[in-house]
Amino acid sequence: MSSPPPLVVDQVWKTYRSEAEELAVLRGTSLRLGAGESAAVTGASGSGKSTLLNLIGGLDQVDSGSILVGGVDVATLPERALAAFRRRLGLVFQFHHLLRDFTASENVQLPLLIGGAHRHAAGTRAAELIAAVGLTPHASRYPHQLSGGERQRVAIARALAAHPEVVLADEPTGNLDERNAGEVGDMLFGLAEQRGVTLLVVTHDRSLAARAQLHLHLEHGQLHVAGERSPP
Amino acid sequence: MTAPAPTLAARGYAPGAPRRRELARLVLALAWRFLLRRRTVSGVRSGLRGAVLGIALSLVPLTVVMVVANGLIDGIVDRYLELGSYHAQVAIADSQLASGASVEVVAGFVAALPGVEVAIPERRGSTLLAAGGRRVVAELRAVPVDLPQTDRGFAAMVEVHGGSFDLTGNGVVLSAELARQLSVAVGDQLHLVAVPSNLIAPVAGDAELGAARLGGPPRLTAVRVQGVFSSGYQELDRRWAFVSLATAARALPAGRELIGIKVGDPHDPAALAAVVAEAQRLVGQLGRVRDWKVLEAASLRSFESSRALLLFVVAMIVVIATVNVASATVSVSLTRRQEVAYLKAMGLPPAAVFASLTLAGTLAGAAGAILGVAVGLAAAVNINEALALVERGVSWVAQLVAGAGQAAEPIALIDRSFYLESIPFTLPAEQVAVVAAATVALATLAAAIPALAAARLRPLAALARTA
Ligand SMILES: Nc1ncnc2c1ncn2[C@@H]1O[C@H](COP(=O)(O)OP(=O)(O)OP(=O)(O)O)[C@@H](O)[C@H]1O
Ligand SMILES: [Mg+2]
Repeated sequence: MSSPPPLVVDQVWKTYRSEAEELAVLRGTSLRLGAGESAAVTGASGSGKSTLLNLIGGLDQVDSGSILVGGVDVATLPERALAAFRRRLGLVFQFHHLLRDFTASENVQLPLLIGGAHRHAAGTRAAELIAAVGLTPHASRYPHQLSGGERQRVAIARALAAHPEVVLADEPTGNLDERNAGEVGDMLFGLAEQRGVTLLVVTHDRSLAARAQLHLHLEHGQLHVAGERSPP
Repeated sequence: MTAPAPTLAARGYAPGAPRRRELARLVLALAWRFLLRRRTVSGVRSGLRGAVLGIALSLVPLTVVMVVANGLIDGIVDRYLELGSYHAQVAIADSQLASGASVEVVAGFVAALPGVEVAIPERRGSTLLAAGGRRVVAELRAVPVDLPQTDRGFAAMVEVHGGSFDLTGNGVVLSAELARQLSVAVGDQLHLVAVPSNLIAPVAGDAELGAARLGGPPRLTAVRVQGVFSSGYQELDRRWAFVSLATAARALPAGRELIGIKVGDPHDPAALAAVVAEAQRLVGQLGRVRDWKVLEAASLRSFESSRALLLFVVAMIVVIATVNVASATVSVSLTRRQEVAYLKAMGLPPAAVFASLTLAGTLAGAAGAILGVAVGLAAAVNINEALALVERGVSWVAQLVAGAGQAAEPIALIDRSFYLESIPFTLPAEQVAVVAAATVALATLAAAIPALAAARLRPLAALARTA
């Protein structure tokens, strides 16, 4: 028996409604990623890239269509199950979204602790991931004591902490200079590949997009394949 | 085109999947940081430390008032029932005065009753005290000369300032207030002027009644001041002058006769009631026996109502302080909106968000309560010194205002005649515990409301805004 694909987006529609207007952002968007596959989504500002990620992440609800993560339809999940669902994903945002009152190591432990991991296990796992992103000397620093690139590396470690099936990243390098962006991009794709995690990255950065196996372009509410490269 | 979705439980998405103990630990850690830390996304100083201080500050006066009110009332009640009403009292019927029945003999029988520790024969009545040109109305209390020796409760509540409590011969022991009004000291002589009791209104202040108004020559009895005493509560003792029963036989023809009864524990209602019943059976028609609660009902009621009023006022302060917690928690949940959103995006269940913010309120309440009660108790233990210090400070300022030239009257913040001169410390443990528990409960409740809103927060709403 083969396990279901980690990520299936099928004919998703999403329209934002305000008193003045209706904005159909996603119009039958579809996407399918297998285990360990990576994809980059590019598109003009306002084309709906973040909207798509938010829907996949269970942070927003589709109008129609379905999003299956590991075979589970996000749209059908009640609020309490949604919290459990979110624990199966890793999220990386443009801004690190680290908790200010927690050290780098503690931030990485959070998804594990939220998932009910024992604190010793969480500590060990966090140390391993902090080492993987090259921040062992800074493990007990608070976010404000870290540079932008370092914070983003902590965010990547955090996203990978709880053994997610899928990692979603929204402009993970959008706030970094070129050198840092390159390093963080390497780390994100490298670690995802190494650990067999399915990765979906939204980016404006062409060089980052080029690292993905699948390069998709979002336009008029639909995804088009802009480039493909066979897995290494 | 896709395989049918497996059940939620099979995929491990079932609610409540995280191990509860680990999650509880995390909730506690979050609550702790919400309480103490103040680095927030917006950089706004947050945390509940201000709320802790607010609660503590409002609990300090509450604790002081509770302890002091308790000590004052207990002290006053003790003085009433050790010195004034006694634990119980046999009021000898008026008609018996003429019959020649001796109150001392009856007291001897009462003393032999089970449960009675001491029975004190006494004659009370109003009289005039005259010394030099001064005349003052007094309540003459004729008691056995060995009363301070036989009644330990009496002796404990009476402080002799000058001389000794010596009623032998023609000795009189005056309250400090009477001695002051008459300008007499130990060794001085004064006269008891027998007055028909109906001529002197009990409320007469320092009325000086001229001998002429009494009609006919007054009977004078010379006595000597052997001691000056104070009970510490002027309102009770200001008109008391103690003499021996023998002196009263000459000087107080129209007194009330009574037998004061002391039992082991006046606060044991069952034992007291038994003694009262026994004594009533013994004296029969000769008199009426009542316990101190009945005798002093009016005073006790007024104490309790003033205590209730005082506590009510101060309790309002606590309520206001816990509103502090509510607003502090609101501001915490507002300034932590994004962090709450991150946590929810990471899969922290709404219940855990609610619990951690509410728990932060509980912790704030508990910390404030502990701090406030501790400081309050410390202040209450040293209340006499604290009051004296404040009064000295106020007097000093008054002196400055009055100018160096003239001497300002020392200022008393509380009128000593209405309160005990020295406030005893009795810990109302139950009340303090109730107040502390109520504070914690209120703080929890105050935090729960904004916490509920934070738990319901949709993470996207807060995530959209970036740091
Ligand atoms: N909550 C919302 N309500 C109404 N309109 C919204 C909302 N969120 C997004 N939009 C609109 O939907 C469109 C798509 O937004 P989205 O954030 O997905 O764009 P994006 O592709 O991520 O853009 P960028 O590259 O600038 O991040 C935009 O026009 C945006 O204004
Ligand atoms: Mg975007």
